[in-house]
Amino acid sequence: MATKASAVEQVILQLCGESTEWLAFGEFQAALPDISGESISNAINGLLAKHRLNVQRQKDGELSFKFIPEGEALKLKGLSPEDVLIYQHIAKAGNLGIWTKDLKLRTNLQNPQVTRILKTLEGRGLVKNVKSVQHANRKVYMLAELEPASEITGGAWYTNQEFDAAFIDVLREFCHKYIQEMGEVTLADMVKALQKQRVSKLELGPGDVQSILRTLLYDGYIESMDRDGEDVYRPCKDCAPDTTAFTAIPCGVCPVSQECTEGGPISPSTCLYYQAYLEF
Amino acid sequence: MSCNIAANPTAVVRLCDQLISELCGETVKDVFHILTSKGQQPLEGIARISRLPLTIVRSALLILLQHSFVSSQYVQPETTLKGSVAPYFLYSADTAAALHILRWPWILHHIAKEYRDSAQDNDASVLAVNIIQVLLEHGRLRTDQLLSLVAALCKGDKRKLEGTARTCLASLVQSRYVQRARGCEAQRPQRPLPANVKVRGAGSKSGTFEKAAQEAHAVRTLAEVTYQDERFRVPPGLLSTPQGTASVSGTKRRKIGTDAQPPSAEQEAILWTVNMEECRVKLRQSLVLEHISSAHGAQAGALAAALVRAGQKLSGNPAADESMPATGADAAAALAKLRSVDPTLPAVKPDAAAKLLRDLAEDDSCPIHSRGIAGLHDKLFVLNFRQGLDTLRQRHIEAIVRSRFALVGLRIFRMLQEKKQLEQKQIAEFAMVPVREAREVLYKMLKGGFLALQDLPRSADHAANRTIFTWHIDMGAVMRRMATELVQSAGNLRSRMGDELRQQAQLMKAMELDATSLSEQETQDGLKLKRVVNVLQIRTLALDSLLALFEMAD
Repeated sequence: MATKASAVEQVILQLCGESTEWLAFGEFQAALPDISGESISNAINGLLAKHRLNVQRQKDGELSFKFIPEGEALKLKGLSPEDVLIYQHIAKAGNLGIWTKDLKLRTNLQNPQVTRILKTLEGRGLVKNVKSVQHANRKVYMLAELEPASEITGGAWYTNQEFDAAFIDVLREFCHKYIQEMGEVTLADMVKALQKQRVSKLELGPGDVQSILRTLLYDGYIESMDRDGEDVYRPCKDCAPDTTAFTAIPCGVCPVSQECTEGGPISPSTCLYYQAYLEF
Repeated sequence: MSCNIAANPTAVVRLCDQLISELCGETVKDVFHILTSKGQQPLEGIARISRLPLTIVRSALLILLQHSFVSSQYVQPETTLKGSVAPYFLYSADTAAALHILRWPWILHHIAKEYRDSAQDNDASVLAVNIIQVLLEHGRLRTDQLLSLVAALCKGDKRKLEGTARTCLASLVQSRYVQRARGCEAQRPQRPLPANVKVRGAGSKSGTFEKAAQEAHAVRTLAEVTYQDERFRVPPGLLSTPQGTASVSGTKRRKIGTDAQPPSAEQEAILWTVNMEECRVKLRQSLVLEHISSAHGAQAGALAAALVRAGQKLSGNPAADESMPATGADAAAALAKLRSVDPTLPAVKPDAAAKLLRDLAEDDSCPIHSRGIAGLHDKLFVLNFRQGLDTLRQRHIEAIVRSRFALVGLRIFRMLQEKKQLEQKQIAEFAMVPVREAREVLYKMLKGGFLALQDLPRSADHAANRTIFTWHIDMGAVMRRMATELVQSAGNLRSRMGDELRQQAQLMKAMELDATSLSEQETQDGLKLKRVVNVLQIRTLALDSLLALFEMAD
C-alpha cells in the first residue's frame, strides 16, 4: 500500500515539476486514470505535509497545486501550516517586501500570531526584515536571500537606509570640477569619468549621474544646451551674482525684517546689524 | 502696466513721508500723509483731518500738484431732491511719483554722461544738467521761468546763455527727457469702460447711463490722444530769442524748426516737466547693459551699448522692447565714437564686432538676437530689453533666495520654476536632500513669501490626510514682495541716516561753523560720520536701481 502511495506521489511530483503552471486536481486524475480519486487525494495530502506542493484556490473554487523544490521543502520542514502561509506571502512579495499589517490582512491571522511566526521564520534564517526609506516606521519582510529593491533602500543615495548626503556632495563636487576643467561635457562623458576615477563603489548609471547634474543645474553652477539632439553641460556664464545691492545691506538678509518698524522693538535706529555694518 | 508695489503699504507711505518732508517740509508732508493713509480727499476733508487752516492746506496741495505727487479729480455731484451740491475737487496721492525723488541723483548723472557722450561738449552737458535739476526741484515750469532759473545757476553772458538754454531745452524735449506737463486734473491712465457698461455700438440711446459712460470715455481718450500728440512737440517759438537763434554746438539731435517768430502767449504758457518714464526706461537699459557686460565680458557689454546707440538714431520709440536693428559694422562705428569720449572702452574692429555679435546671438542666455540681413551679407542684430530685464530680475531674485535660504533654497526655487508644481517628497527627491531638510527650507520660503502652497483635497471634508499639498511659485507675488522689501529697505537706510545725523547734530554744527577749532577726536568722529552718510546714500541709490527693475510689472 505504502509503495503504491509513494509511486502516486512520485508521479504527481513529476507532473508538477515538469509544469510551470498551477495544476488542478482533474489534471492529476487524467494523468493517473487507473488510480482512484481518494488515492490521489491522499498522495497530495502527503506531499503537502512534506512541503513538496504549494496549494492555492482558483477563482472558480477549485484547488490547484505547484511544485516546491526539495531544497526549499527542507527549509520549511517542521513549520506549521500558518508558518508556511506567512512564508508563502513573504516569498510572493519578492524584493519589495511586505508590511506586517498587510500580512495580517492577507492571512487573516491575529497580530500576536503573525509576530510569533515572523520571529520563528527570522530565527530559522528564512526571512529578514528591512527598513523602508519611504516609510521610516515600517518594517517590511522579504526572503533572507533577496536583495531589497531600490524603492526600499533608496537606491544609490542611501547607505544603511540613511540618506548619504556626504556621498552626494562628493559626487557633485567631482562633476562640477570635471565640467569646469573640460569646458563642455555630455552625460555619457560624465558617466565614463566617474567610472574611470572610481569615485563611487557602486556603479552609477546615466540616470543617477543625470540626477547629480540636475542639482548642479538648479544651483546655477552649470548650464545645459542642446547640441545635435544631445544635452551638453558647461559652466554657467550667466549665474546669480554673489552679492547684489540688496543683499549687501543688512535689510537684504535680515531674518526679522518683517518685524522691523519705526519705533518698535526692532527698528532701523536700534538695529545691531546696521551697527556692525557701519563700523569701519 | 500696473504698479508692482502693493497699494500704499506702510513701507511705501513711510519712505514717501521721508522724501517729501526733506523736499517740501513738514506741513506738505502732513498733507501728503493724509492722502496716502486715508485715500482721496477733498480740500475741506484734508483741512479737517490735519486741523490746519484751509489756506495752508491749499498751498501745500499746490506744491504737491506742482510736483505731480498729487492728482486732482473734478467731481460734479448729481442734483437730487435735497438740492444741488457745489462741484469740488478730489485729491489723491501718487506714491510712485513721490518715490521717484530717490532717482534724482541718477537722472542728473545720466543726463551729464549722455550729453557728454553724444555732444562731446562739457558746456552742453552742464546746461542740460542744470535744466533738469531746475525742473526736478520745481516740478513744472513755464519756459521763461525755467530759463531765468537756469540763468541764475550758470555763469556768463545771460543773453547768449538764454539762446543756448532754449536750444538745449529743445534738444532735451526731442530726446524725450523733458515733456509738456499734463493738466493736474487730467486722468493719468486710460481707464477702460466700467464693467457694467455694455458697448452696443453707436446705437445707445442718448440720455442713458451707457451713452453717458461711452461719451465720458471718449472724452478721456481724446484728451489722452491730444496730450500724446503734443507731449514732445517743440513749439516753433522756443528757439527764437530777441537776438535771434543761438545754438549749442553738437547738441541738436535733429533739425529743429527755427522760425524766428516771437513766442506767442500760448507757447510761453506751456509747462515743462521731467519725463520720469523715459528716465526709468534708460535706467533699466543701463542695468541690462551692465548685466551683459558682467555675464558675457566687457567687450560684449561695450558692443551691446554701441548696438543700442547705433539703432537709437532710427528709433521712433525708445521705450520699445527691442533696440533698432544694426549691423556689426554699425555697432563698431558707434563703439569707436563712444571710445573717443571714454577711452577705457575696448576697441573692436567691424569684422570682430560682427563675429562677437553672431556668437552672442547664438547664446540663448544673451538678449542679443539676429534679425535678418542688411545688404548682401551683413547680419542685423537687436538687443531685446524685455528678455534682458527678465533675466536680470531672475538673477537678483536668485541671489536673494540663495543668501536667505542657502544653496538648497535656490535649488528648490529654480526647480519649482521649471517643474511648476511638486509635492514635498518629489522636491526632496529631485533636489537630492533629506525630506526633513527640504521641509524646513520649504516652510521658511513659504514664510518668506517666495513659495506658495496649494491644497488639492480628495474628499469634500478637506481632511489633511486625504489632501495633496503641492508647492509652486507665484512670480507676480514674488515681484511685488521684492518691490515692497526694497522700498522698506530704502526707508530703513534713510531712517538710519537721519538717526546718525541727529546723534551728531552738535558736531555737524561745529564742523559747519569752524572745522579748524575741532579736537582730534571730534575730527575723527566727523570723518566717520561723513563716511557713514556716504555709504548709506550710495546704498539708497543702488536700491533705487533695483526698484526700477521691480516697481512696474510689464
